[in-house]
Amino acid sequence: MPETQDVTILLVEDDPGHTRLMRMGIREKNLRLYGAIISNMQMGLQVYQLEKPEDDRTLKMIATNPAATLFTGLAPEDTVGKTLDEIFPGLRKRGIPQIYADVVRTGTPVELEQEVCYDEDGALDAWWSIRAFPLPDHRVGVLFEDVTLKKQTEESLRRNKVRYQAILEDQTELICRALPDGTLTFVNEAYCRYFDQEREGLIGQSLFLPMPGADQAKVREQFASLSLENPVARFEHRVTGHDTGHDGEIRWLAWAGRAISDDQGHRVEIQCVGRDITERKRAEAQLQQYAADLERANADVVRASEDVVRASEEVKQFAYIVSHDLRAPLVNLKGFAAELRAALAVLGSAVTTALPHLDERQREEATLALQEDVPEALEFIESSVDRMDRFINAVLKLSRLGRRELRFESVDVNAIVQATLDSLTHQLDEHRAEVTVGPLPQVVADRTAMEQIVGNLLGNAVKYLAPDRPGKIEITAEHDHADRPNEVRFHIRDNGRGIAADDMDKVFAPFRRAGKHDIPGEGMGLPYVQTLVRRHGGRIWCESEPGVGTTFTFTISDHPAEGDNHA
Amino acid sequence: MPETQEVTILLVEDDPGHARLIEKNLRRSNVANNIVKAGDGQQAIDYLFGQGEHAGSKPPSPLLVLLDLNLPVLDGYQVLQRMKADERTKHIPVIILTTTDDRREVSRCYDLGCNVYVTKPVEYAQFSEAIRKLGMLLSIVTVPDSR
Repeated sequence: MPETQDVTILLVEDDPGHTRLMRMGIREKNLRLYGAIISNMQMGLQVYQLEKPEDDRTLKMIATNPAATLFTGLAPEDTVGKTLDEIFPGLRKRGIPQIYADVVRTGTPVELEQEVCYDEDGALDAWWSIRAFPLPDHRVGVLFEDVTLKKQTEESLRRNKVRYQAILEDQTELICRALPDGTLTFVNEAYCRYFDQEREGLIGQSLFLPMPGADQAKVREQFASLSLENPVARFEHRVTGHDTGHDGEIRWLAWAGRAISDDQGHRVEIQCVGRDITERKRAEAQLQQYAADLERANADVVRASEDVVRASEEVKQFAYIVSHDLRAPLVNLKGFAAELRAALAVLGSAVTTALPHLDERQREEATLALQEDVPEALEFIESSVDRMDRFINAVLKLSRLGRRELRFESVDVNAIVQATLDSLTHQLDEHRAEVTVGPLPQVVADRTAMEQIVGNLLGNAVKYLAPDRPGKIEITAEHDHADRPNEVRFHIRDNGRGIAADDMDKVFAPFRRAGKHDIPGEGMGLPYVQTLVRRHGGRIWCESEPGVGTTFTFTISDHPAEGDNHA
Repeated sequence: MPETQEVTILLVEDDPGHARLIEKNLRRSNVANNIVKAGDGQQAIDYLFGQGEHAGSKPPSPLLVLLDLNLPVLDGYQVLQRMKADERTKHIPVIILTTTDDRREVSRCYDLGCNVYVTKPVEYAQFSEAIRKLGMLLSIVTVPDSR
C-alpha cells in the first residue's frame, strides 16, 4: 500500500521493560515528533501482529498508547505481548479479531462504530468508533475513540425527534412551517387532512394559496413583520371552502405564528399552529346578531312604552281640549237663544198689539209661531245644549280623574262601604234590600278614589235591583290568589236585573248605558270607576246573568307600583 | 265718569259670537267705552305694538285688554307673556275671559301677570251676570295712562 509505505508509522513496541521507537525509513527527529503526537493524542491506538496469517487467534498486541490505556483501563504491561483474545475475550463474539485479521490479509482498512464490551462482565460497555488499518509485516493498527456520549446525545436527539414528530403528527391542530414568503416547508397530518391534499403536493406550495385576496394581503403583512427579535404573531383568515373539502363554504382558521431559525440556523422560518374557528366565528356572529336583535327589541319596547305614555297623555290632553273647545260654541248657542227669547218677548207684545189688524189665517199663523213654534225650537236648542254641556262636563271630569294626583294611604274599605250604605238607606229600604258585608281589609289607596269606586258600584247595584223581588247585595273581598299575591279582589254581587250579553261591552264605555233607559244617569259612572281602578294598578270586570244578577269585581294592589300616582 | 270713558277696551276673542255676546252684555251694563276687537293673538299684538296692519299707528291710551286663552296664531298665554315682557305694555291691565276654569291654568295666568281671571259660564244667565259684573268693575277701575 503506497500511502502507508510513505507514512511514518510510530509504534510503542514492547520490548519487555522498555519502550522503544521503531523506525521505518524515517528520520530520528521526526520519530520523536510523531512519538509525542501519538502519546498525547486523544484517540486510543493499538497495534496487533498477526503471527499466523490464517489464524486470527494469533493477533498479538505489540504496541499501545496512553489514550488506549486510559480508555481500556489496561496498562501496557498487561496487554503488550498478549493476544487479542487474551486481552478482550468478549470481542470474538462480535467478530472483531476476524475483522482485524481480514484487514491484515486484504490490506483494506475498516471503520466500525460499535457497542463494544471490552470486559467479560460488560462493565466497560461503551460505544466506540474504530478504524482498523493495515500496517506492514502483517500488522494491523487500531485507532479508537469513545463515542458513547456522542452516541447517547444522538440517540436522545433521535428519540426526541421521533417524539416531536409524533406530537406534530398527532395534533388535531394544523401545524406547518413556511418561509417568510409563505412557501411551505413542513405540514403535519392534520394540515394535509384539513386541506385534503397529499403532503408532497403541499410542500413547496404557498401557505397563502387558499386565502381570499383581502386576507392574503393581511397575513402576508403579518408574516413579513415576524423576525427572531419579534417572533410571535396571531392571525386569522378565511379559507375558501373548495380547498377544505367543506364544499364551497367559507371557513375560518386562526393561527399562532412564531419565527424560528431552521435546523441549520441559517434561515428564518415561520412555524404556525392553527385551528378551525368557523364554529366560533359563527357563534360570535350569532351572538352579535342576538345582541343586535336584543338591542333592537329593547329599543322597540322603549319606543312602544314611550308611545303608550305619549298616547295616554295625548288622550288626556285631547279630552281636555275637546271639552273646552266644545264649550265655546255652546256659549253662543245658549247666549243667542237667550237673546232670541228676549227679542221674542219684544216681538210678542208688538204682535199682540198688531193681531186685530191681521186676517184670521195670518193671526192663527202668527200666534202659532210666536207662542208655540219659536218657543218650542228654543226649548229644543236649550235642552240639547244642556245635554251637550253635561256630556262635556262628564268627559272633562273623566279627563281630570285621569290627571288628578292620587294620595296613597292606608284605607279602611269596611268604613267606606258602611258610610256608602248609610247614604243609600232610603233606596235600600225602597227595594227591601238585604245587604251582606264580608270582612273587608285595609288597602293602600287614594281615599277619595276608593269612595268614588265603592259609591258608584254600590249605587249601581241598588239602582238596578229588580223591582219585583227583595234585593240582595253582597260585598266580599279575597286575598289569596296564588298568581297575584299582592292583590285584593273585591266583589259586589247583586240579584238585580242583570246585563244582557250583548250589552256587556258597553258597560265600561263612556255615555253607553245598558238595558232600558228608565233609570237616570249620564253613563259615566263605570268609566270613572274603571279609570280610578286602573290608576291604582288594578282591573275591573263584571259577570252577569239577565234576571239573576250581576257581580262586579275589582282588584287593588296591596303595594301599588311607585310612580303610579303621577298626574 | 270722564276718566273711565276714555279707556279703550281691546277685546281679544276668536269666536265672533262670544265677542258679540260680551259686547252686548257690556253695553247693557252701561259700559260705553270704545271696544276694539282682535280675532287672534297676532292681531292683538299688532294692535298693541303698532305693527303689521296697525303699523305706524299708536294704540290708544289708557287701554284695557279682555283676553281669551284659546286663540289661533298666538294664544292668550303668549299674548300675555309678550305684553308683560315689554315696557310699553306691561302696565296695561289684562282680564282673562275664557271658558277654561282649570285651576292650574288660572294660576298660570296670574303667574304670567294677568290682573283678573274670569270664567265664561255656559249658562247664559250666569254669563250675562258675569259680564255685567265685569262691566261694573270696568266702570270703577283706574287704568294707568301710558301717554
